[in-house]
Amino acid sequence: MKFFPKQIVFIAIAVLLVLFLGFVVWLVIPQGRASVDYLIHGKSLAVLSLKLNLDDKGIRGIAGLLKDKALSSADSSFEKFLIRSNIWQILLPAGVTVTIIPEHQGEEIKYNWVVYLTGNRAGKLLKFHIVRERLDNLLAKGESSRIMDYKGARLTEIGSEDNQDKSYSYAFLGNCMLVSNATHLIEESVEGYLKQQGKKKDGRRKLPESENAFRVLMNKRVDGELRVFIQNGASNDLSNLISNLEDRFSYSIFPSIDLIDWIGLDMDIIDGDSIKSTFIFKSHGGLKGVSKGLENDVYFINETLRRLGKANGLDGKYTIEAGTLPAMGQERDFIAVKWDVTGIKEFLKEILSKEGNDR
Amino acid sequence: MKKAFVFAWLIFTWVWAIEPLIADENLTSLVSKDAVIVASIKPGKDDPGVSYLASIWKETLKEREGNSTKKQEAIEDIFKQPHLPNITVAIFGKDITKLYGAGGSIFDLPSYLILVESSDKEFLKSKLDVLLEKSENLKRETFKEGEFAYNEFAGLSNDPSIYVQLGDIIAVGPGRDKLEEALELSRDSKDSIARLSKYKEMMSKMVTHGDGTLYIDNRDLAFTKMLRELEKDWKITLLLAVDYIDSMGISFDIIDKDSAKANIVFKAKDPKGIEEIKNDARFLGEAIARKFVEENVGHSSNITVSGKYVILELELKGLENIWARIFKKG
Repeated sequence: MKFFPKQIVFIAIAVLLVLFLGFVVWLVIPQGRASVDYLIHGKSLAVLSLKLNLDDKGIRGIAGLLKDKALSSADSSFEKFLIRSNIWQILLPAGVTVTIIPEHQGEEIKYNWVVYLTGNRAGKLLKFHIVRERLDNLLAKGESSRIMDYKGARLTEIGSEDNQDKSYSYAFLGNCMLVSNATHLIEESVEGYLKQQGKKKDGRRKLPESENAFRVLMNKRVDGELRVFIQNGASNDLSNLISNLEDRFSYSIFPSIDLIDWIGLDMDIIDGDSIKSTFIFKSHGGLKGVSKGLENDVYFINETLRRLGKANGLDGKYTIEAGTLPAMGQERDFIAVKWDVTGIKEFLKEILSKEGNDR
Repeated sequence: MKKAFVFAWLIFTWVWAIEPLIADENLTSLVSKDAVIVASIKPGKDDPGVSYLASIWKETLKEREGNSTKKQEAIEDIFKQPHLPNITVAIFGKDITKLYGAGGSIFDLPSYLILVESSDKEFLKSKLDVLLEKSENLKRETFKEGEFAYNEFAGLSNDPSIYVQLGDIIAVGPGRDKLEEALELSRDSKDSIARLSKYKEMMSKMVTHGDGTLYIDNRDLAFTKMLRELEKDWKITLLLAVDYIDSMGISFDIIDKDSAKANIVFKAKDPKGIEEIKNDARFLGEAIARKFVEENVGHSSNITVSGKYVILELELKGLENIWARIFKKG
């Protein structure tokens, strides 16, 4: 009986240890992958998505370059220790999606953005009220902040009325963190999320006009792949953007832009030095969709990018083919440009060194 | 002052050569065959396109009267003549690689040759005397029956400082060498570029009745080296197949006030370079056309291959407004 207290202490320590180890394991295991498709605004002009799996050779290669750069820029030995210890890897999200949504304000167009971070381990901690409060205070340092409840989701708005351009909001929906310069876009995502939770089919908020293409392109996504989807949409936002740029530079880059339904990019970062990618230019409507003018535009864009790459040390194979997207079931309604490019490592090193010099 | 001088000479030799103009054999027979760049303009008397451009250029010059330096006035007087002179500019040997360092100005090169053919040579000489600065310092000397007029103290080290009259043609340069060579060639032109078979062959691919030409010889890859330096600045590789190019020619014909056509001709060193050169030609054609699309100018382009030659033909329609804008700005 006299050893009873010792046993209690021992058991208590063992339980605490197990709980602590459990907590660490819970924290280290990434949150499950989540599709953010149903959170994406239907009128998005562009969607950019990247899976950040550090086990992928390509992502590891790029992360290695960034780590070297961070080490060379770090001021204190503590910072260097943190970078070398790879603790930052725990904080990385499993996926990043960025969307650009045009908002027509009379004659002007404002380009809003939303960033979706999924599967981030830090997000688990931020579900705790006390941790979230600390983060809100940290982010709002020197700025005003406002916490709102929108249909059960907690939204934090940071910034001031005087400086709208630097204001932003963020919220957590499931295992996804959303950040945007426009609170109403997060609110709309909350609604999409709630409908999805209710399993209502019409709650899915995919890009309506290019729904199939978006699904085909985005859901093919694998680790180490970057995907970009740009749609012209009913309001011809892409056409308007390109036309404005052409007027500004007095040069026609893409005279056939009005024929374009959407543009997709699928880029596989194979290792730290090479990428394999496909650009898809999808025209409106079947056989007549791909005109000679559109072919010439795609040729010119491909050659310009190829020559810009060549001047910056990138080399590779470039092919252009017109054909059919299997999922679309139409003939010759798209042009695909395929690139196998090497020399990425030196190219990125050059950019990173310039970044350092600029500062 | 130096700037004004260089600017005036640039106008004199190059503003018209924005569009390369046709080689006149009278002039090119005075250029030695070691020339690597030969740019010529031949504004024909009855050419409606050239007459139109000359008239709007003269209008622009009139508007500027009173605001020019003496040297600019001398150049403007040359352009105000009823008939514009034929002009050929030549750069020799490895000097082409120094063009980049010279910021594209031939007046920083150690040697070059400018040939001007005019019906009124006394008028032209009087203007050249002004251009060579301080006419009181101008010395005259006869060498092998040619009268050389020179000013050792003219502006920049490589500014035009000497000229010699060779019949209806006046040769101008920064030193005697190329002028003496021109004098020799005026007696026997067998070593001139005009007699060089590759030059003649290239000229045969140019636009017929063109107003001007530009010939570039990629001998010893000198043009390749110059282009690579330029491409570093531009941050884009313009010609991926430049290593395969033996020589290049550009010709331009201003048909009338509204339309023009041009040929860009590439000669391949090796037939295996033809496909790459064709791709470069297509890219150039597209790049040029896109500038005109934005200006609402009608255009068409066509690429043909003939033996080792790749020829890009361009036709433009609706240029009247562009000419007016260029010359008003100029």
